[in-house]
Amino acid sequence: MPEIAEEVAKEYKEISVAEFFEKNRHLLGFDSRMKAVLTCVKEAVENSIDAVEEMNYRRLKKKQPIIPPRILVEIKKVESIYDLYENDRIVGELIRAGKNFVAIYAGKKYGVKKKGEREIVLESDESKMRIIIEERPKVLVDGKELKVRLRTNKYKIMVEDNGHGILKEHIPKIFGKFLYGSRFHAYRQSRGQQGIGIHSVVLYAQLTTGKPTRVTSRISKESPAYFMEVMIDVSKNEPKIVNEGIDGGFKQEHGTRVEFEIEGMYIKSGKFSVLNYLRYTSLANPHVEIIFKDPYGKKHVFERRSKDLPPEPKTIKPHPYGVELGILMRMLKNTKARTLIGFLTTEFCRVGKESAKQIITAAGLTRKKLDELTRNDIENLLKAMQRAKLQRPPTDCLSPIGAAELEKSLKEMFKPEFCAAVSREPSVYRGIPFLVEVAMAYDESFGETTILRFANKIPLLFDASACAITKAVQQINWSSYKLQRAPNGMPMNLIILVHVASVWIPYTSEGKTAIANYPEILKEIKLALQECARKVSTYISGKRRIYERKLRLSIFERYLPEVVGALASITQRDREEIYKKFEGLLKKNER
Amino acid sequence: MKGEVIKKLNELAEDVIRKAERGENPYILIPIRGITNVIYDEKNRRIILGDKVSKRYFLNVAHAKKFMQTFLVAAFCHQLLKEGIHASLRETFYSLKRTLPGSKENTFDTQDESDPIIVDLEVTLDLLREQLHLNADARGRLVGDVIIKDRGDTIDCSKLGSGGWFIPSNVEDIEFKNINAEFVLVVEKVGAFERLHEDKFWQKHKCILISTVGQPARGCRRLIQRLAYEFGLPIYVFVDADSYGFYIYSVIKYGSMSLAHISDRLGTHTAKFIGLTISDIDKYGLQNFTIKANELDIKRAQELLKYKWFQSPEWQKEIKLMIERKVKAELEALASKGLRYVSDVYLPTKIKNKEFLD
Repeated sequence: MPEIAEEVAKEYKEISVAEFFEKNRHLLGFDSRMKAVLTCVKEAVENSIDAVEEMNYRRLKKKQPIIPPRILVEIKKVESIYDLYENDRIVGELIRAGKNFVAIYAGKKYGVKKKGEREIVLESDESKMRIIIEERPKVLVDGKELKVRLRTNKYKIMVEDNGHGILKEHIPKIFGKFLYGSRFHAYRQSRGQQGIGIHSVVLYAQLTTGKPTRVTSRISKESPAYFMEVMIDVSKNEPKIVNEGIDGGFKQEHGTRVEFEIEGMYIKSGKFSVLNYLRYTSLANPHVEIIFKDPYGKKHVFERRSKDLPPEPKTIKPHPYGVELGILMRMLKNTKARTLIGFLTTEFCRVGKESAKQIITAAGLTRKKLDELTRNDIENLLKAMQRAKLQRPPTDCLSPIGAAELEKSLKEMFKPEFCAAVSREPSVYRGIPFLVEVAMAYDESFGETTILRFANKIPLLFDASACAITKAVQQINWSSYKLQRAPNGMPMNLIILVHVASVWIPYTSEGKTAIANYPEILKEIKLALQECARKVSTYISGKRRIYERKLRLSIFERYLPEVVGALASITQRDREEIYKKFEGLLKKNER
Repeated sequence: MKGEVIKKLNELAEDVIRKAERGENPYILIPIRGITNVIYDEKNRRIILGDKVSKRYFLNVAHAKKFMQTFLVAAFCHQLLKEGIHASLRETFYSLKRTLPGSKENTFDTQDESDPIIVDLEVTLDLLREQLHLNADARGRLVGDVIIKDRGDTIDCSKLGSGGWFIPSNVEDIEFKNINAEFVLVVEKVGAFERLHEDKFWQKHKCILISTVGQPARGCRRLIQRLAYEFGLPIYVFVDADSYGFYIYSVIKYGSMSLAHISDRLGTHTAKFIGLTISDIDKYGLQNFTIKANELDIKRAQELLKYKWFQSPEWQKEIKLMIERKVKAELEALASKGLRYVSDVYLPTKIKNKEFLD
């Protein structure tokens, strides 16, 4: 049946990453309108924080003063689109932009005829439409009311930082090409890691509103701000510049501003709100000031709480224990080394000449040249690498938030009665260094415990149940920490913050919502939780002691007059005289 | 006597003041009541209090309130003694109940709180509540050919109609002028008492008939003891065939655990158990008139089985029979043989044949 094979073959075609995304947007955090808004803000903000940090690390090296990092986030509602129903069938739509309305009904376009404060009259060539302006507008056509249901909102999201800016020739690729980034090949603790984040936002905007993403950047006071409107050519995974030029309105001396228009649903507050995300981001990044203007025009400021920059995460080479076959093959292809020994010693950490020789011997490749390696050889090489006796990878590459900073942040944000924090020494999973930090805020008024999850200083909001952090919290035996507990065994009145920092966080999905359950990571989180919980427990027992002592004294003080009265009545002695004797006793007992 | 009681109360108070003065945590020593501190005195056949004592401290969160309550009761008794008046348990509770200043807490919330404190004071001072001028609850009735003198009144207990004489809480000062009886029949239930009274059982069989009306009160027990010890009358106890009936019998005979400290004044070791026994169920053909014993009955029976004063083979047999068959029977079950069966057949036969459990 050769003709069938040929037919099938015709249908095979290469799909680009961008196309893939178009079909699998849930993987990247765009599966609901509410989540979409948050994901867009998140990707842009994370890029911005990375940019301001990078700038300051480099300034520090040049002995220049740090520029206080500031990030501006603004969300504006552009328009709302409502579906119009008649007998449960969609018969048209109403678009509202501020106080302007346009409608399509029964195939006819309706434009503004008369504008009033509370009512607007639209008109087509056939009939009139009355709109009563309310939170959900009322629509009447020829006196008959149509059912109105909100389909979607369109928002303009703007994120601006005062970082180093981007060279204009880099803008298209950074924003318009998937898997392009400075991070994917580097073993370095950073917020973004795959090179997917911001491009998916550009693509999402393009898919939902058809509008390009506008990037404005300025690299110094001397040069003007340059803007570019970028789209992605989905089939080719290539950027497309729609418009570009000089933006005279950019006020900052240096920095980048990203603006995009998306469909979505903004929620004011709650666990999955932008406000909440920014609050937690500020919590883990106390050196950054974040200003947020919400769609209602309200300004929220998360102030800078730390003058110091967190330690700079250093780029390290991968450790032989932590590579996979695919990566190893690519590394072999891209290496500048000419011998296997050279490859092993220059591309990996903790591999010296001697260890390299041992690995090569163990893999049976002593005679092979670098460019002669077959797939089988590479597999053997990988096995030998993973069996070799090597030192653990260096751990100074990690940048913790710091126990003191965490404690301070929790204190200022939640005003708890007690705070404790623990920053663990770095550890290693699969040859990859990581470290865990835990902070706890305790207050009797908190009620149900909140778990705040962070990975490389970014808050994780979704998929809590799939995350190693949640698992670790659940696996702790909370009965031994003197905390009140909920019927499900979880502690009460705590805010538990867990931060996992690593040069490569093993997320469960591309959406970066949950950390995978590696036993080494789980164990470290649990140890940190226990260490921190012990501190809380000590506080509680101390508090309880004081409370109990007070309670005791108040009990004695309450009963004393009765006892003294009875004693005086029996003995016919003076009340005051007896009272004094007992008062002395109570005072002695106060200590 | 009264002076001695006042002196004891005074000493108790002075001791506490002294301790406070010395900076010690003031306490009172209270003999422990209950199963952990009762001993069965085999020789004298009575339950007595052991020598375990507890200390009740003022500066102890768990004790402080009871400490206060103890002294409130002590001061109250002191006042009663001085004024020469008596009070009932209920009156005591109401006299002492009040809200503590600056709180919502009461000195006593219910009488269930004040009653045990009174017993605490009794055992601590080794006194009877009557000596503290507190009247015990009165319960119990008596009929028979007996003439007594109570507070100057002469009472002929054979001429008191259907109700009989009400046994007061304090029988110490009762004088027996004339007793024309050969034994005392003590029944637990008023119903049985009325049956026997109507049948003139006491006249026909020359006895004194007493009803304890449930758990025997102190006055009733003391009266039974006086009739047995002062006049040598045999005592026969007639109760339901179940763990509660058995226990009532043992309280009359040996004293109770909660009042073990005064068993010598309340127990009548010569008392004998006339019925109903579990074996009677078969013997008198009452199989169809039994009641199924519930879990609590069985549990109680198992406890009885362990009590030292229930160790005789015949008692062990009865209790085990009850546990084994999971049954109990009421006195009234005998009515199935005819209303007068109990007066005409059952009791006379038992007495005649000396069919008693001891």
